[in-house]
Amino acid sequence: MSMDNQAQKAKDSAKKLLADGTVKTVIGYADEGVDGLCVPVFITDVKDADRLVWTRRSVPNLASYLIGRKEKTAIIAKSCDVRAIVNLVVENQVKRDDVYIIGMDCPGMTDPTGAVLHACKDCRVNTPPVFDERIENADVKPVATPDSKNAERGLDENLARFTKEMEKCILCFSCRQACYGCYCQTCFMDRGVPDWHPESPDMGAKMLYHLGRAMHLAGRCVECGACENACASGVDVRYLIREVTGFVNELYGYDAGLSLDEESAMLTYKPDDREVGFLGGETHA
Amino acid sequence: MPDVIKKEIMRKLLTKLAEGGVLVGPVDTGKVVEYKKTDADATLMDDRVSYKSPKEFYFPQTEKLLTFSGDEAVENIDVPPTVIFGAKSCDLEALRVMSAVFMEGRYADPFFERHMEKNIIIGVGCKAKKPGCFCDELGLDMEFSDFCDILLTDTGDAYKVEHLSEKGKSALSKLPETADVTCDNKRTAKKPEGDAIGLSADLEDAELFSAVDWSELTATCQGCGMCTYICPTCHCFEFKDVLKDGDIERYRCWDSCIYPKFTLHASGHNPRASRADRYRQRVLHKYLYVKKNTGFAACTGCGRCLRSCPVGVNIKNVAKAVMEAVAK
Amino acid sequence: MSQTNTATFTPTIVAFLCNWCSYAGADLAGTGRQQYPPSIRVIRVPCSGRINPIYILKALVDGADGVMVSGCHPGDCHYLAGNYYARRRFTVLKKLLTVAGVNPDRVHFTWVSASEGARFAQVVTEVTDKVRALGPSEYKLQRGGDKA
Repeated sequence: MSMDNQAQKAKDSAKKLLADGTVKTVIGYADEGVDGLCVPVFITDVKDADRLVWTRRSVPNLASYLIGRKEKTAIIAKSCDVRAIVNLVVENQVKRDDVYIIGMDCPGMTDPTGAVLHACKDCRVNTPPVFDERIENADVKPVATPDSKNAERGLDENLARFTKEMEKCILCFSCRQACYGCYCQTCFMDRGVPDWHPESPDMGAKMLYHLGRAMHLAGRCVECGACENACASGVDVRYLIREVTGFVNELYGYDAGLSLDEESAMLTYKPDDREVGFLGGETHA
Repeated sequence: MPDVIKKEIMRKLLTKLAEGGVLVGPVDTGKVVEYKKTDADATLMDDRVSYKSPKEFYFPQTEKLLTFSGDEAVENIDVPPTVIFGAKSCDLEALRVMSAVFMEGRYADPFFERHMEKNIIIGVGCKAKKPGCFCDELGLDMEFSDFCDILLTDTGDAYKVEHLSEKGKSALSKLPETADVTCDNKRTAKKPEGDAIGLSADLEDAELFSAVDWSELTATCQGCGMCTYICPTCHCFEFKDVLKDGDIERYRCWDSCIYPKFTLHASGHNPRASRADRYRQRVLHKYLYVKKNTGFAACTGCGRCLRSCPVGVNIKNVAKAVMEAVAK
Repeated sequence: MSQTNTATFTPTIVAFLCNWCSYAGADLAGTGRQQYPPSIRVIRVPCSGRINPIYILKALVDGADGVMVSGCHPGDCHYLAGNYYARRRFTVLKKLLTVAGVNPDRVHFTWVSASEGARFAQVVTEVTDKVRALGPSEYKLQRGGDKA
């Protein structure tokens, strides 16, 4: 029931912020989708604020709607969405002063059948790390040990898994559009000159896209699962990035979106970084 | 001979029909139900709906059309005979729209025609409305469509069979158990009650462009274009010429009006520059432009885009908002 | 792949070399008459930090049997820190390729300075041997076999 309390508090807060002119818009969820899916909604008027809800189907990550907004905006954000917002601030896509973060303690989201989403099962941060206002939920207990390590597998097994997942992919790029971090004005897959996109939706094109995107998200993924939730074909889109995120964490001790002051792992270096897998061993370790 | 055949016999028939060709049917792939090349045993015979339409089997995502070799251009006529099983009536009505687009009017598309000639389409009526479905609001019957070769009605462990074309009749005669199925073919689609969604074909662009605030209606759209991939009637395409071993191969590939590159000019100018412009195009193309050309609305209410949209953009509500605004 | 005789197979290896160290190192290998296998196709880039990981992926997807990347030794970058950034990127890319089932012996990163002509020849020999042992790229064989 605690989520209903949270929803009420979020509503009150939205009304107050809109009434006193702190913000022009509140981005939140409305229960207006198919199968109980809560869809993004932009509230600009106090009297519409009652449309706002907070349920276990508040699945979409709203952070990307902040990019390019001109006026101050409040956003109802799950803990992973907050991490996304923090990373957008770190990457200078959003100004911290332009966002009012209503951070929600998140008990994890579900699919239409009520099963907890794949990404939420892996959740490592379920309370907002940064916020202007935190709406607590007593039912949300801290997650046990943050474990980002991934099991080692053999090469054949890796290839089989990659092939199995990629066969399902139809290269519609929904995962990219749903991702808060894919904010490039023109994605490399959409470029005409040079034309990176191979001509047919075969394994080569899929490898280029998924590995290229995973590289772009190295050290930036906030594990919100928007990519896999967006995928209609049921591809486990996140698995490559999950491995990379774990690896970046292991090597450089960095997790995206937890602090406004930390530099993103791939945008910085240390002279004594390890050289894993370089020819001739770790010559400069 | 009754017009009911058991599901096991149906599987036998499918195996027989797929000899020397391909069987396509709904398959449970673990996370989703999908139309795939499959065998008769793996084909689902329940009432579940696949997340994408079977259009890729008569309008492939990538299709080789020609090979230019020296001075010669050789058409690719290699189309396998395909049995498409389990198309729902929304898919069949969509096929009617696609056929009108590709085969009627001044030019007929030989590639599409070839697929239609070689395909045997076996439709199955829906037993229940799924979340997001709205075929009834478009005036379509979820149980019946005559745009197929054989239409089945699920009666539990058997199907009631109707053959609606000569191809369908001869397909049934391939198996002794089904050879003498008779049916009267007098059934027609029921027109469901309820508000039909539709825009009058005499509306003009200028009126519709300003009728509603398109950017507000589509503010949450993320522009992924998945709706156009899984839609049974989206049929926009582009060509791509590819150099392969000294020859040039020409492919036809799906394109999507939701993508910014769809209308990007070489000059850099983009006439549909914003996501709202592009979504407007999708809505008006579905409910108006195709209607102007063929007489049918290009939405059959299958509800796939509603179910699969990651942020729940609802084309039905957008269309209704436009209708209301126009009515005022 | 079983038909390929790995002893006679000459792999195609795309080599990205930084302008200031490794390209000069390759030059020195030439002027010093160092022998190395004719398997590499050199692409000169301003700095190893300039190499977008997508270049490496594109090379593999479009039919290279192997990729080799070489830049200045850490600390010696002409632009002070380009190779430090590259080092993080390549470390992660190599891991990612392994996860996707690409044999890690197809992609090699190393450092060769302008004075290491002999080392350049030795690196190319080593890379060629490793790639030759793997035979033609699986990804090249998979292209076009899926849906097209």
